[in-house]
Amino acid sequence: MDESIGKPRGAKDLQRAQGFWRFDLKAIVGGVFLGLVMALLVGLGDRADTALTGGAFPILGGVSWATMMGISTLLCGQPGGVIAGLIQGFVDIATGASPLAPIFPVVNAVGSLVYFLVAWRLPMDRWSHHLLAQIAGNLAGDALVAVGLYYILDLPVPVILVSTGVTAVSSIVGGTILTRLVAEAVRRSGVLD
Amino acid sequence: MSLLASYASQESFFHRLDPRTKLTWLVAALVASFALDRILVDVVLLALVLASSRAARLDLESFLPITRVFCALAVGMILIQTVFHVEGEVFFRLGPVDFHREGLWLAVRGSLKLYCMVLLFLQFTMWTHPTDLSQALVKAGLPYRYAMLTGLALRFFPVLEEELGDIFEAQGARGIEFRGPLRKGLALAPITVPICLRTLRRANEVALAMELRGYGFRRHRSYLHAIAYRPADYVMTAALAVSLAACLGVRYLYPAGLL
Repeated sequence: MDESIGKPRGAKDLQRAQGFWRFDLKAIVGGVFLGLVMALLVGLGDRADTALTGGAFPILGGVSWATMMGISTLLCGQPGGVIAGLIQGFVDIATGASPLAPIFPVVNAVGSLVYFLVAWRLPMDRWSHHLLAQIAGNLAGDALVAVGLYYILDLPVPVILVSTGVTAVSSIVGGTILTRLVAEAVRRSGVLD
Repeated sequence: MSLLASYASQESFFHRLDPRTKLTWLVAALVASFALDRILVDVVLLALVLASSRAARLDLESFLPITRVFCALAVGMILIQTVFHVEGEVFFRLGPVDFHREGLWLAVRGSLKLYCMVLLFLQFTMWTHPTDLSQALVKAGLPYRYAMLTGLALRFFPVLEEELGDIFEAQGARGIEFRGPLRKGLALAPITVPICLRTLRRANEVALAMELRGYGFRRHRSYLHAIAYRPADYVMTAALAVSLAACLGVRYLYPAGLL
């Protein structure tokens, strides 16, 4: 007999099994903790980006942001995903992670909500589903970051377009791959059972 | 290297203040920094932050790790602004790349403002107990279920930072090279899975422990040390409000000068 029958197969199935809107304490505390991890990993990525490009192209920071946004939303549902984004945003403000830090709570919350709206409608058991959710979440988040680059850093529009475009493409590709791999690894570990 | 210093218990005037008074200082200073938009204001605020931290017996060395990270960020900001903000005269030329004076001023002003904000938040986390902050948010009308999240985050940030360090060491022992920020950033994949697993396991344990202690059983909860405004809090809040109003008034009356 196939032992996998009746068991969740992917992160999305698992989430469906537990309910997509999750207000239980595990999901909320999980959202807080994943938000802190998000702040740590995005911080690492940002520092590597500063070493690589002087911070002009936040590629690794973007990949870690997209990955953690996906993971927190998939594993903790909503409002866990938004909580993770808000926590990361406030930690970034408190640690001065970027000149754009004051808008990060809003960027993260919107990114997570948009990602969630796509993930909610898809089974999330294929690469294409993860890709679509990442495209939606990243475009929403990066659009807000572009507004911040224009009004806060006062950068010229062509520079903003190039910077945001490079960040969005790398975050979508890297975020899609890492989100699926990590979500699957977490599922297989049984830590959510 | 811990970026967000945790609460440092001390016997000082500032530690005894109500968290809402400290929050008022934080917000008033941020409003002054952003609304007045003058280098002098940011320098004065920085001096006030350092002086008040000293008076509160906070360890000023705790500001060093974040200052080092911030310096790297400021250099990046200066490079970006001087190259891409093509206004003002060119003060330096490196091959085909021109560096502009106006961009330099913009970057210096932005960096100072950001540094000011960082130190204000760091000071706030160091002299405000996480439970007091949760209570302040409850008093502000946020449901306790969500108000406690800020306290939880402040408590567990150093713990998770330590766990990340342990994972780096464990993966390093397996032969993965992590020296320098570049290598650490590129090694995201072997770090993300273990830190997520550990974090979710810890989240489950914490959630279970909270439920076993009756968390959320009653709508309103009581506290062993309930926060309350004292005369010193009223005086400080009034002084802050008057100072901020005076600064904003001067800025409004003399938009080009004085501050």
